[in-house]
Amino acid sequence: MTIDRRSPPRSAGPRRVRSTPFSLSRRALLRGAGAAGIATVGLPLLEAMLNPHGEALAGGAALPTRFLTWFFGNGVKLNRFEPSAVGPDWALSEELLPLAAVKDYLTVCTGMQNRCEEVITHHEGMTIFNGYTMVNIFQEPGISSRAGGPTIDQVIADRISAGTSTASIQAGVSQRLSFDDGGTTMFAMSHRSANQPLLPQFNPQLVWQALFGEFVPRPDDKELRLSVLDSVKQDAARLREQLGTTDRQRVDAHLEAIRALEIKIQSLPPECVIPGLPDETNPDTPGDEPLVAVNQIMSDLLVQAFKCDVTRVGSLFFLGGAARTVFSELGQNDAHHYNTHDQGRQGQVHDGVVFIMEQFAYLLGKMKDEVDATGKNLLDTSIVFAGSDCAEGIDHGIARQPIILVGHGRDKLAYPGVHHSASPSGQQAQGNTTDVLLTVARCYDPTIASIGAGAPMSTTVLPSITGPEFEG
Amino acid sequence: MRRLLPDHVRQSIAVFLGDPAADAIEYIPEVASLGGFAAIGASELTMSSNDVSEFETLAVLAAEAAVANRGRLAELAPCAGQPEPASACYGDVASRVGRVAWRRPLEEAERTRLVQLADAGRAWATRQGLPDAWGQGLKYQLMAMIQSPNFLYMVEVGEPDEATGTRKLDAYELAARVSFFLHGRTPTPALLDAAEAGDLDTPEGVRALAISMLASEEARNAIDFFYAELFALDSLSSLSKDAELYPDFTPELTASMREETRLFLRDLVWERRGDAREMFVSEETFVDADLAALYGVQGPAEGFARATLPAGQQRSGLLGQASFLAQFAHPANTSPTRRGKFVSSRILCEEVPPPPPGVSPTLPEEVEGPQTMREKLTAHMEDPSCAGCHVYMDPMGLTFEHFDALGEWRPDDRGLPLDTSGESEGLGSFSGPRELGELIYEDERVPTCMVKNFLRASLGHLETSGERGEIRRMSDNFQADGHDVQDLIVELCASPLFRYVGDPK
Repeated sequence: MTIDRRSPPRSAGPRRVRSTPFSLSRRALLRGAGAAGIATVGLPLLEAMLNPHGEALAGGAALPTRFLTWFFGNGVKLNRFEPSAVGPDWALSEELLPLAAVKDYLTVCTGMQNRCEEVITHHEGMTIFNGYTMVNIFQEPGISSRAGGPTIDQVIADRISAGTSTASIQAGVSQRLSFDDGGTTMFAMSHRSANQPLLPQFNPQLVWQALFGEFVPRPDDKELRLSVLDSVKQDAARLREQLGTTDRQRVDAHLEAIRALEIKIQSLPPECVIPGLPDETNPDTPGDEPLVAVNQIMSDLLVQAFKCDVTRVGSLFFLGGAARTVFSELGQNDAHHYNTHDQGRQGQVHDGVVFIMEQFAYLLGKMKDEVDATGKNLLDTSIVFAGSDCAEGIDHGIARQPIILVGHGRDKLAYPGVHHSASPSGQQAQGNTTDVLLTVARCYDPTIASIGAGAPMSTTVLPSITGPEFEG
Repeated sequence: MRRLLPDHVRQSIAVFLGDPAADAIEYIPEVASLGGFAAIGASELTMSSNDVSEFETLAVLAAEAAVANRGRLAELAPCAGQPEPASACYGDVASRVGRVAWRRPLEEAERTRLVQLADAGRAWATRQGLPDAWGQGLKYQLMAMIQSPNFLYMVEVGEPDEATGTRKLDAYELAARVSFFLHGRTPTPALLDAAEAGDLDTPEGVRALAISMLASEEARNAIDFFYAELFALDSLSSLSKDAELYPDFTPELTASMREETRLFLRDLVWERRGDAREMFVSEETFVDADLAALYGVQGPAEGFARATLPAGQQRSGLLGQASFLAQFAHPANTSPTRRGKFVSSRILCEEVPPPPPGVSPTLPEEVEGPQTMREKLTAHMEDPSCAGCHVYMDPMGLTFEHFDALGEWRPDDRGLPLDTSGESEGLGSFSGPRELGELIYEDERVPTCMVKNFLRASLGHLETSGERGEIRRMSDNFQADGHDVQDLIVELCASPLFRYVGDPK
């Protein structure tokens, strides 16, 4: 191979083929500051807004309940995670100890079987969030699949988001996603359908913008913005006529998204102090990821959003399954996922799980601290559903895949919480993880007949984890 | 129907609203990649409500900047450059700017609708007492143009072609397809004029267009974009390395790795127009001071310079570059499986099935002292349930074991001798990376894989069985032509695969 030395190397600088870390402009910053200082319309849930019993709004509308899913990839160490005692009198295990401050609100489901029908490594674990086996398996290069059906957060959002400006919000913390996986199953924990993944937003400023950006004071051009959307909808209708079935569905999804934007534009500012724009942008640069800081700001934003009732449904994708995330804040040097597959590093894996639970605990503590005019905190009025993509990372099995529930959603789940064990530690898994999904779904809509499809489908609730107000 | 990629959005807005408008955009929602290419995700996945909301935000920012800096608008619709444009100018902007944004002439009803929005905006601005009421009205028209599916999606439904009984892209659709592929943006007014005049109605016409478009800097950027996606160069920005083992690892070093590969491919494809397969055997590359230290060669005081790599290290083209070696590795360890899988999937287009159920994906503990990767991965090759697939990855990956997780050459692995020999089905046996590179150079799957990857990225779908014959023909021509990438791109644009489409899906 000879190379012509006559042509000098080009000196052009590297081209930006990927957008640089987003940062809102100074103008938006000023607006955000203005919002924090000026747009204070009221306080969250004033007593004057309640009926005489304090159980509903004076107008008769029900007080809001909220729902959140929380995801961490690569499982736990079952022998250090599963509590030993079962039922209402149970003690925290080593790996659950970081959640001690919210122990009363905690229900842990162990020993259950995730009944996903396909096993392709990690993907099948995501079935605990929707009750469907993946689809489009290996239709693309890599270990690839798409979600088989809507995730629980979207099922619930369709039922409880009316009256809020944002139907649901998806936030993420670690951006070091898997290299070896394809499709969408592993990259989103919220899906509306196989072709509608809702990707997590990793930049806190953009999460703030999605939740609160609409309420920044500006000249009131809502009517004009809606007219623009009317025009866009007519364009979509014309386009739709030219397309085949699949693309028509995509246009319909786009129209549904426009409808959501119309709702946002028409929403009145929330009656609370709008938080200022966060400084943190979660820059995706080599080196250390600011996991602790980003988790805190994302958690704060979710808590503020619930408190202000701008949304009632969210998901937080802490770290991906089979991800490249390194817990450098723990002093670790190799990826948590890599460690899980190394027999000699299971101590580090345990440390990683404890670290994950500590990050989860930050959110839960903030929810508990946020008390409304009726004396209820956000764990009294919410349910948080947390889980992973496997039971243990070492073999990414889906037997005994644990599920953590926090909060009782206005006494729909047991309070104090319980340890529900479908099968004693170390034994073969029993039951169906989707039963937990159905139980939780019926906390929001008692008429939901089933969740999921095929083997993982559930029509059975778990009475042992329900509370006095459960109607399902 | 294919959603525009973020770069396409920004670069297109620069074409019809000007650079200040493109620069004003703060964030464009990402498109999830499928099959290794965002273009495929853009063809299959839907827009979320948050995406649509973000597009409204960026439409406001771009439209406000375009109204404040009307240079480009005035080039397309001169009346917009007047201090106090007449009301009729809204119609002019809608027709002339809209045609570039939507890649086709506007229908009368569409034009009327945009003008009505502008009139309503102006009336509102006048009531509010805002300055530049005319410009304020225009802003809403431009917002509607940007938020429209006519801008956000490439619509490629074609029209029935009696000669072949299939569907052929119309002239505008074809102009857009070529322009987004070769220049990463909406067609310029001149290109739309040429399409309208019938210049793209024949393969020769498309060929001539592609040749002329390749002559500009935008084409080099677009092909940079293609290779960055193919070789996963974007992910270098989120690389992690063990700080104790690799104290020299810095964010700047990953930027250098990326730039090295970009310069290397630019030199091959554009400066020398060499045989594309040289990318697997070249002994030369481009280094800055940091990379020179990593590779152990003399580096320039500043910037990048061409360098010949030390023969003893057997760095062989792209596969000897840190952008590959460091990326397809773990933070503290090499990953022969990952390195081998990259060669299989991205260079040979051979798909490796995932691990079967029940297989333990666990590395053995180093109970009796350190082991080499080859020793640790023994089970991959000895257990038949592993070997069935790992035989396509590990032997190739193990040949790179003299390169550590950062891509630096090492004589041994913690004192343990390294065996880089191997054999891979279809390729044959090799003693080290240089011989592997030469086998890849000769392998007939490689040119076909290059054709396939260009197709996936430019058409937004994985190749179908009906496309095989044409892919074979193109790959034969590519070979006969000495594997010149520029010629391949031209032939691709002129090929029926590019000019025809299936029934609307």
